[in-house]
Amino acid sequence: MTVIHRQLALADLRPDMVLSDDLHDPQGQTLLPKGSVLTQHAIDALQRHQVVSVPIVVGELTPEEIAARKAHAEARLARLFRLPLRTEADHLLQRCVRNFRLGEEA
Amino acid sequence: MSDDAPQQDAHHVHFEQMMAQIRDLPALPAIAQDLMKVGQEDVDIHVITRKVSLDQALSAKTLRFANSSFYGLQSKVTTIQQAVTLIGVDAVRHVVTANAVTGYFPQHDCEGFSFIAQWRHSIAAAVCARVLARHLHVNQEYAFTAGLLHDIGRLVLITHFRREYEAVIAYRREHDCEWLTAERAVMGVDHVTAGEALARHWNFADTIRYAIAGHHEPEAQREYSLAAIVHVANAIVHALDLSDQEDDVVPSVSTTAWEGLGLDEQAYLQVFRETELLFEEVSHVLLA
Repeated sequence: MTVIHRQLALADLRPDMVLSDDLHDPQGQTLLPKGSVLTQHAIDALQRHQVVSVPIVVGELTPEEIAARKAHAEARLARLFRLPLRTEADHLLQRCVRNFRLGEEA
Repeated sequence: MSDDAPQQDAHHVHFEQMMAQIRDLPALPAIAQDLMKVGQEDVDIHVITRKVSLDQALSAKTLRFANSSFYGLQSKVTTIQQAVTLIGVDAVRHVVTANAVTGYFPQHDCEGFSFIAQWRHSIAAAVCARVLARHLHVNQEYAFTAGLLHDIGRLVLITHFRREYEAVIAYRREHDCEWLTAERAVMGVDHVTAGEALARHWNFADTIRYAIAGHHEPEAQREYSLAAIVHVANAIVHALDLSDQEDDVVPSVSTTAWEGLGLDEQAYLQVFRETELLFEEVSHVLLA
């Protein structure tokens, strides 16, 4: 959660860019793991796999920015889950989405 | 039915009134009807290929869809025939269905209701249902279609009972509740019944109809699994905030349905990721 990432179109990719997340194909296979540094070769391969856009690291976040983002995500989750949780599955869904948005440590 | 009903009943719609409206809806175009018969053995692929090929707009959309990363094909698809051969009749079905159905519900504005947001939600649910279906090893294309159509009853209500639905919108704003609750309180009918009736009127396959009927209460359905998938997918995409509506709210999830899918948290995290990635792309194609 310390990096800023942006979903970049294939045409905007350049060598030396860094992947901010695992990249999967539609069958769920990992094409490139998080943290991979792109090469021209890799970009060409993505094109052959019909990948349209890729999550790329575009900067580092300061601790204050991280906190602000977390607070924003927390607030949005609280808004979406504002109705009383009635079933066990409501709690499970909320926990999964929280972990997804805020990371496991949340 | 008493005469001294409270004033709130001004917006009540009788079940028969709703059914009459639905019966008056024209049939779907023949090609969409053919494609909605999910059992593929009924579908004459050659006839469909030819019909779609003759419709330029449909062809263009179908090809864009077939070439999107949704299907992840290695080679570029350039004809409808290739599309049908490589990915089956399903890509064609999705595009024709989405096209036919949007065509029936012209997007006139209604205070507090966004057609675009509604379609974004339906597409998100379709994508998520398909991703879930893949994890569960059940038919992914039925899941997509059922997800796409699960809220179709809402379009019936808002198009044919607009004044009443505006009261639903106001009620929901005031009480901050789920849509279903507001519809039942104000109109007395709801988008689930309307959707099921429309599915019957338009001869959707039973599986799809059960899923539409059961997307809020899947346990009541005979064909449980697809209804459960759409039910969970619906809640997930609300929770992932994909329709881009400030006042979106996550509906309650049936524990029986959730447990019935049997996925663990790791699997759900993967489902969320895949859903978000595929959603943007599919919505670009289908909403274009």
